[in-house]
Amino acid sequence: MGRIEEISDTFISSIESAYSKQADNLHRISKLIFDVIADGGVIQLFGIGHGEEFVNELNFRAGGLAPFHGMRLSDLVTRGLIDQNEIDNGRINERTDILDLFTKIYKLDERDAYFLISFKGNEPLIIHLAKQLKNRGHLVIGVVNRKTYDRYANNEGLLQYCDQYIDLSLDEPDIVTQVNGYQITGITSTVADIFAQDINANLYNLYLENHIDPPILLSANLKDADKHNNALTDVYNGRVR
Amino acid sequence: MVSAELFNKSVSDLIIQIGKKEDDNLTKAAEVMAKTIANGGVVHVFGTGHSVGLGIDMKNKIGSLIPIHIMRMNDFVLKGVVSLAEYTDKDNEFERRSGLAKDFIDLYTINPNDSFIIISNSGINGIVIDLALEARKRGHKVIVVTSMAHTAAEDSRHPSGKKLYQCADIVIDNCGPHGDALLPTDTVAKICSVSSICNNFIAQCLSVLTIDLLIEKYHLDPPVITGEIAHDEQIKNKYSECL
Repeated sequence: MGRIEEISDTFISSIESAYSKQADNLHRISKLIFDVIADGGVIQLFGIGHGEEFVNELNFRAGGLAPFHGMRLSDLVTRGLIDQNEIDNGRINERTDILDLFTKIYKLDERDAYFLISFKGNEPLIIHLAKQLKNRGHLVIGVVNRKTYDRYANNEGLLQYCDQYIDLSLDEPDIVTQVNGYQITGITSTVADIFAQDINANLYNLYLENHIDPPILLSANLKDADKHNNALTDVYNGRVR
Repeated sequence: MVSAELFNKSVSDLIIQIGKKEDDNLTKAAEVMAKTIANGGVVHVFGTGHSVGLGIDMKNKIGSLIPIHIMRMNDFVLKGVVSLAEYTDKDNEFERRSGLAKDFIDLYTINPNDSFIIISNSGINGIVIDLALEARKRGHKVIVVTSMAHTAAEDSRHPSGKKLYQCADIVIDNCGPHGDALLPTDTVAKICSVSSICNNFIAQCLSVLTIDLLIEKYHLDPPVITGEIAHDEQIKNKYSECL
């Protein structure tokens, strides 16, 4: 078997295995967030490290749905509220004031629910954020890789303050292959992306079941997409873009 | 019909398709990357919008190559080239503009042995095409990752009329559909995009094939993250000026 075939086999078997363990949970969580959206809420997304890929996958995405909003550390950097070096050297993960900073630049609403993504779930930043949001009464959903979480967070991490969670259901470490004794890892973020799209598929069906037109965004690189997308996002009055 | 099961099955089919159809291009791209790293260079990765994911997926994991540098579009603001208002102007999307590549490249330390990976699903926007043209003008190899189905169906937004794939030494087709979303719906729009997932698979293939070549062809210890802090820091320090 060649290298590429080996990697594709690993990807496909990991996706199938993870989904078989989480399919019911993904349907249940999709229903919970649909109810939030139906009540006028937006689904806020925040991820640490590679968890940001899950954020990107649901926020203002071609073939995605309008009522998702990404909260990004890079937005705090470009607005001068934190320094890029803090992210690069990891000190950002120790901060406990991130919700205050996000509140300064985003329109967060009491009806909103939150996805918080950290594969390890042990960073003080995201633990404190989850605690604050839960104390304020928001629905908080964690996205972790449970085996990684159990290794690093030792039951004192993000999930303490989550109402629900998605387990990416992969091994720790998430090995793609080995080359001459070097472990090459990196499938967790791909499974996170797949689960994000699975949530989109589930939500689409929930919109139809509830006789609501699903607000599906188009790629911004299609003719006339800007007009279509602006019409879907403008109704949220700055809460999703 | 829309379902998570159908989406997952379709993605698996796409991964197999990329592996078969793009085998040669992935191998050629890895040869460029391995040669770059063997000669002490760095691979610069740039993607706009959701195409940033490929570079992110190549970095900061056990087994990730260290001499990978992500060019971030918000560096235009952080390094004072444009204002935040100009950068976030919804009526003049930044990624669609041309004429910025020289300023962009000059923000970083770029050495003659370096190469570039430029990712754009549509391959029609000004900034990525500009960057590819400028990088090749300066003698660097350029690897492009794009959706050939999408780029073939849309007009270029660059004054030259070129599309990104026409400005590359090697083109990898991510095999995604026109518009990125995969599943037809009862509306005008399809749902569930695939490019990030396909690009992650491409990222891992490129990393593994490059490491293979560094060991087998160049007889080098590959500069990868092992999780041993002292080892990893020593290698990172070697590239500190460029990363």
